[in-house]
Amino acid sequence: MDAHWLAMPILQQLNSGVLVLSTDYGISFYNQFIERRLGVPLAEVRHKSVFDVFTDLPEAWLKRKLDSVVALNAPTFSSWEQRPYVLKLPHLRPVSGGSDYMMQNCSMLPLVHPHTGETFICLLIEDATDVSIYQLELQRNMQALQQANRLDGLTKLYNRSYWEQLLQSEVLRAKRYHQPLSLILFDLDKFKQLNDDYGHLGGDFVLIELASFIQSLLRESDFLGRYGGEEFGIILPNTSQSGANEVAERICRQVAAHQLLFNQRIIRATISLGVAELNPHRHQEAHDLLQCADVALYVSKRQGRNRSTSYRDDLQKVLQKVN
Amino acid sequence: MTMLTPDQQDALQELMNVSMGLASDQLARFLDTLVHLQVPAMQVVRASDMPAQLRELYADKEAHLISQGFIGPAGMQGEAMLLYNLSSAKQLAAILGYQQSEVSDAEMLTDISSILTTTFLNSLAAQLGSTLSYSAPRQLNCQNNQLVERLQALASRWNVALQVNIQYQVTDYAFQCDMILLIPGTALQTLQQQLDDILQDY
Amino acid sequence: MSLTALICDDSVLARKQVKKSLPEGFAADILTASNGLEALDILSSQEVGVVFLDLTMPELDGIGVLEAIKARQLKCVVIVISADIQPEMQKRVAELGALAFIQKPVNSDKLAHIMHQYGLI
Repeated sequence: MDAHWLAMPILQQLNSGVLVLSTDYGISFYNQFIERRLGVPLAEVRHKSVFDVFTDLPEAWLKRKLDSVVALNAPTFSSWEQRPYVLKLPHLRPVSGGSDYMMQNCSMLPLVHPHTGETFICLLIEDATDVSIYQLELQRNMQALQQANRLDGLTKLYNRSYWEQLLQSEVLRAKRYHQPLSLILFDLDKFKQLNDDYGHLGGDFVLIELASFIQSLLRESDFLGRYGGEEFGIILPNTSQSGANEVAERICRQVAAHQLLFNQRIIRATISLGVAELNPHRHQEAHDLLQCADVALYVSKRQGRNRSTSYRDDLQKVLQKVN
Repeated sequence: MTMLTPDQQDALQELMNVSMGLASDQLARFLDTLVHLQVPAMQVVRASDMPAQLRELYADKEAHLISQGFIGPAGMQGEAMLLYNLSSAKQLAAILGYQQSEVSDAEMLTDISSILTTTFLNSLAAQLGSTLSYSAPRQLNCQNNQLVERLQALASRWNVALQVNIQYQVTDYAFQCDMILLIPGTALQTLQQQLDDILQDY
Repeated sequence: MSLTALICDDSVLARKQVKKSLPEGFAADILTASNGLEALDILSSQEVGVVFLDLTMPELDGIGVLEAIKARQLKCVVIVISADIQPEMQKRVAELGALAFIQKPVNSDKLAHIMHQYGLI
């Protein structure tokens, strides 16, 4: 079969755009795909500059691309991920949301006329709108999933596993850049009592309210996470022990002064805190730092709660005395 | 696996040198600046050996990996990867005359890589009496230590790696990148045949 | 008069390509060398009329060969055939006395034209 007659009908019905330009950017040809979306018959614009026919073309960028195709006799490409579209055309997904225009992958290829030897540039336009929408949805879902994976369902603070990851990377960072790093662990005092007095809903309410209240007292760079049932942790990057002590004391005071209104009853909650600073020589891992803060927290509880304790090496002895 | 004979190796190295010369000439004309590309070393290795070799070269450095597929007649096909070791992609782009406001970093990198890959491979193919078509270039994300994993994943799909260390000299500034052509065993046979034909011609 | 020509290139293929591209009317004994040192050995032991010289070579590169030819005031003419075609390199080569500079891959018409121009054929 002589296949020559196939070329034109297929070119016209191709589900991709074909635009052929001369080296001075004049339009030599476009197929039906482009003609119908542009709404301008080819005969009307043939030999006109592509920059006059298509509005909003990135002129400097496109000229550079087209020139490179001619000068290097090599193809060049544009991806929707980097540049949503080259030709501003509508897409055929009226209810897609997202962009109003067709997302495009574009290949620009050198073409040489078989008889005259004249060079042309062929732009192949593929509609990537569907792909871009799926990708966007996927990204959104992935982000939501990742976020959900990191958060504690009740308090919306970082959950234990993600908070521990953060602590580990902050420990590494502090060591690498020789910066201070402190940690506060705190416990809601007499949580069992709260639950007994106000019911589990009341207990949950206190946890949620305190989480957001304490979060509001922290810097953007601090990481507050729910470590266990009523136990929480705060990572304070670039903060020395004395700085962290001030933060802890302030939180302790303000929580004690904060009134929570639950079912028309005022709840006053207090917390006990333990503060420790990373000692890069003695603390091999995040776990060692956690343990120090935990000892300090334990001392706070032993000494009557509603207070903050700063870790010292002799705290172990204090503990033994109290016991 | 049969790799290249000494004669084939010699011929391929020579063709690559010539291709680099042609590519740098074209690039220089296009960019209107002095571009000098050199291929001091080319080696043909098993694809599976490639990641370990490159691991050393790019250890502790920020690597940029751009991949572009190519295909020609007689089973010649593969994947061309350009591997940069630049602290800043912007530096390269500025040298090559790109306006930073015009394009994103990713676009500059894929653009420059595509130009380098296609001009070089076009010249090489022409000398082998052939032509190639290309897919769009893609930047592969390889932060931190993902480079080796990336390379391993790529290598597992191909048999042979032609590893070409390229030295760029643009005006007064020099830097290096590696071009790795990953091809299947069948494409290696095609290449060997083409090299033999050329060797026989002379 | 029988002319002796020397093709100096580290690549076997390149040497073959040059040899094959030589114009038909060019009757000469053809010698080959695979690096600059080999070329200089040959040049010092016998009279060579024309050298087709590559630039990038191990042991001693083309520039080194040109320098030696100039220093020793050897009579041969040199046509550089190289893939490395930076303008500076061309200038350097011309300053060192090379007759012409041809870009690889060598084109037989261009080679014939240049050889004709300089009366080598």
